Amino acid sequence: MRKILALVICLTMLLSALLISGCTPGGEEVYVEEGATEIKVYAREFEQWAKDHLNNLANEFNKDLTDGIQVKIQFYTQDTYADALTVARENGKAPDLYMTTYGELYTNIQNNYCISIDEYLSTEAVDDILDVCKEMVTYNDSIYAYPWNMEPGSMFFYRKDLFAEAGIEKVPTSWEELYDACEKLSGILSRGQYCIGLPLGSYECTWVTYGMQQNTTGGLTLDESWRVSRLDEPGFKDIAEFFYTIFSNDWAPTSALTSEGYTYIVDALCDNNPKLAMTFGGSWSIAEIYNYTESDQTIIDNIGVAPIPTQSGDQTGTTSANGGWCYCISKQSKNADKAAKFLNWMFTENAERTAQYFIEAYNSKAPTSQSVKDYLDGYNSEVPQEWIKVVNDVAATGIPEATYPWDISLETGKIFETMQVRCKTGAFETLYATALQTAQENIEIIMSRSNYPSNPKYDYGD
Amino acid sequence: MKRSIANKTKKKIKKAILIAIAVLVALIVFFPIIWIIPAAFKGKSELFSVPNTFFPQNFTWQNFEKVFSADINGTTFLQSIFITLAVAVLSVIGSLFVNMLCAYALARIEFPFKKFLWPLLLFPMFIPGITIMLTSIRVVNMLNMVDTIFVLFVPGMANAYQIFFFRQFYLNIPRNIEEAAEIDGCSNIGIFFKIYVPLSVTPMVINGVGIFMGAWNSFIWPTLTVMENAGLTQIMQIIRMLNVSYAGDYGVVIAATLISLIVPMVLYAIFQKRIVEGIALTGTK
Amino acid sequence: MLSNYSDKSKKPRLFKYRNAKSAFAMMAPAVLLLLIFAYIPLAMAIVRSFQNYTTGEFVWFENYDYIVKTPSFTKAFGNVILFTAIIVVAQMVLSFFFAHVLKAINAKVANAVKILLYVPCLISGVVASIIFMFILNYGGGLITSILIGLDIDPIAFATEGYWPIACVIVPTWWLGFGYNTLVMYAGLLNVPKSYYEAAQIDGAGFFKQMIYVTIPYMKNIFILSLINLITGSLQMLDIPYMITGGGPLDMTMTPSLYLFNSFRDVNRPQNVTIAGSILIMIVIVTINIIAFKCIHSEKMED
Repeated sequence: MRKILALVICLTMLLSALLISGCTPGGEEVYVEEGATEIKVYAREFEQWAKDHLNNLANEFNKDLTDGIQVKIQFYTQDTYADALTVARENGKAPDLYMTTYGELYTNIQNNYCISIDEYLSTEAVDDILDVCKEMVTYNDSIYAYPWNMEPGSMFFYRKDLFAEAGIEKVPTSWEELYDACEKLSGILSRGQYCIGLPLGSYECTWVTYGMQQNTTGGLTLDESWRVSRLDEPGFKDIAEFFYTIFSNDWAPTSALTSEGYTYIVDALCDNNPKLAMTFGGSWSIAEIYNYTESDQTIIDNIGVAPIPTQSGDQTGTTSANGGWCYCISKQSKNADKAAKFLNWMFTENAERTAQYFIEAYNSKAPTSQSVKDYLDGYNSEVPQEWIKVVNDVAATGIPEATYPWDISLETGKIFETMQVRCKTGAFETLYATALQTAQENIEIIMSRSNYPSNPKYDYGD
Repeated sequence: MKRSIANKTKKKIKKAILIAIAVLVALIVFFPIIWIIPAAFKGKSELFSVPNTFFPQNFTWQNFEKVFSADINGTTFLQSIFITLAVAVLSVIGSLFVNMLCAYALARIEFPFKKFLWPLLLFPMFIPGITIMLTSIRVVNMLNMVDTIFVLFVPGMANAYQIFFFRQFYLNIPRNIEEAAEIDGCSNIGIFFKIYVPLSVTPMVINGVGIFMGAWNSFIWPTLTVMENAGLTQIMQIIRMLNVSYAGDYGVVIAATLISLIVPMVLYAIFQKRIVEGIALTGTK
Repeated sequence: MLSNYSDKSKKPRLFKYRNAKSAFAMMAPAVLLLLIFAYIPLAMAIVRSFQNYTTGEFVWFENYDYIVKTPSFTKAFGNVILFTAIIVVAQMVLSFFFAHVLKAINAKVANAVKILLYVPCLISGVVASIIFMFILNYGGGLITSILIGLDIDPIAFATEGYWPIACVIVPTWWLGFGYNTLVMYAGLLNVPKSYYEAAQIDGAGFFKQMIYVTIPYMKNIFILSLINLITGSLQMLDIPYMITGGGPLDMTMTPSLYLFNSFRDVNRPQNVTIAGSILIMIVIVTINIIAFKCIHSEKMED
């Protein structure tokens, strides 16, 4: 017995030693440059094509063996990306370059995570950035990140075949029309199929509804001073009622049908026997449609894209926030100039190179610079022109995400979540009243923190 | 006479009912594990079909093939099984060695400041992992342990609970058994290895299995400390990653989960008697 | 006289500590490891909880002010009280009764049952969550399949009504049931037979015996289990993380999960997370001190 145990132990040790020493994951060819500085990049892992794209870019950059820079990209999933950054910063080993969202950029600056990149950008490069994007990366007159892409977070996708079957002739533009469509669709759908997919839970209900909040109430949770809650605005009640109506009628699934929830919600629309007839979805859903169906034209032809229905039915105003990602240079980086070199190589030197990303993304994201935009306008994409137009129109009117503490925006999301989870347990008026009161109280509490921040873009007049 | 027969049958019926209850409860508790076994052999379309059957209609090995062939962030499932196994074995050996020695000294040897040292050794039991998570990362980084195999087992090796447990166990061993050895001129360390270690097989097994399972099942600490060394990815991390990336092909996750259960089950099968026996030691001190 | 006295007291003292060196040698590894991987991190954590995250200057209770003014975190503490109440009832009472059942049936069956019961205790929270999520899957798990067979609308267990609480508690119960039953069973066997015999002579029935003999005798086991369950639910993390993510509406949020999420939140100054985790530690230490005081005073009385 003892001998066997000893043997087993020895064997495992031997095997593991072999594994540790011998098994470095192989793969693409590696370019070795003597004495080069390694620039470490932390990237969020999105779809496989996006990962390949970034890897190819880095590989191409590394081919140049004379610049003294080798780029190493490290991918992390949604689950572990924040962990990785926190740990790296704790250890003083933050990556030279990393991605963050526009909404989180300001806290990154406040926490001293990243530096201003003004000195590394040429005047032409700065001028080339679209104003909408420049606004989102500029604080205290400095640019802190290079905008990578813009992705409207809320758009509307629907199945043309199911619409025809249910006798819906006009794509809904207002909430009333949307309710009508649901009414008609629920007549033809079987169990396990739902009329519409919506963001679920307070997190999704917060960032997906930014556009809706702007459209219906003329702003987000707080006013410009970050000192006054706007939740009393009647528009918030209307949005809550919108959720209440949909969920109390069982028109929407109450649990995510796809992985990562809202992110890949459009998958449920793309099957031959779809689980959803309509859905909200981010602009990236267009690329997901192509990936999920493996460019199956029969399904793609059956899918329509539009801005989300609004309360009034007018879709020319804001219907979405512009989410998206930008690249920052870490405060802890010792080679900021070299990191900036790679940044410029990726984004400012060659519009065609930068545009490649948007082409591979099936035009599901909006470009951030004029030169890339011009290049894309002249490019003939396989994606239907009307889809591209919707993305660009929605992005053009999109607002930036809220930059005050996330807890506060989340309270608004919780109101909407209450409507989703509690709609079967009470009348709308009472539910809303209690949810609003809780949210207001919580916002008060959060604002009473002794280090509650001020809006850097607001003139307090003192 | 009649009455006693009636009593006897009554007792028999009562016993039968109790046995039925016991078996039923055991089956209910065991059922979730049973349920996923055939599911691992179901295809994508069948897994969430309504109505759901217990046995697969179309038996397939495809899920297992995918588990073993998948490249998961630069490592493979098989490799992570080996490395997790190695970490678990190292943890068991290191942990038992360190804690048993310490517990023995506390239980059997007199030395100054014992009263003062004992609560200090005990206190770490009450520090929640989350409290020192961030700062521990800093410490292991300062020791240059990040992304090496050591970070996975060295920090958890000394364990206040085990010291407490073994000390309690040694205190209950009558002292006179060591007298003979003492006369033979054995040193304390000699006594410990010659007399006490052979006596503590049951607590060693129970704690050893506990440590092994702790290592096998851990995912938060490895996620935070071996981020850039894919070769050290632990099995629970893999399962968690698969759970996200194969959400659309859930059979793969189920298959991986099933495989991850094999090692604990084998371990349990070997030591099952001592474990069930040993529980009495943990709860009743 | 005097010299004689001091001689006597000196000798046993020397004798007493003659092995102190080897004791320190034997304890050195454990002491060093605990110092490096428990006390130093703890000291660092305490210091940092009083510091500003970006500048490092001492702001004393600002971080604590931040975390107690975080509604989800305070709600999580409330949840723990509810979870503990449910788990204590589900775990302790069921295990206690089931231990009686095991004791009453013949040893062979009892042994087989014990072996089966303990199996879930070897499973991790991650795996248990996957197993239960699979069974409870909204789209077409076992339960959904049965419900549709009965022509009832499927239930989204992770979001609907108060089901999420059950979703978190049932796997937690499942993971601990075997262990608790075996502990209770061992405790039951320890109660001296003569106590029951005396009670039977007094004419006490099964329940009276339980209240007057079993429960008082097993009091320490109950207290220990109770501490384990309370500290367990304060630190409950992987199951709510995997199954409900703490939602809906923070219904299944636990303090540890909140802090774990906060740690993963790039927006959060991490010293605030540390301050929150120190609060958890204070609660746990307090509970344990009270419980150990109870056990000790109990032993004094004996």
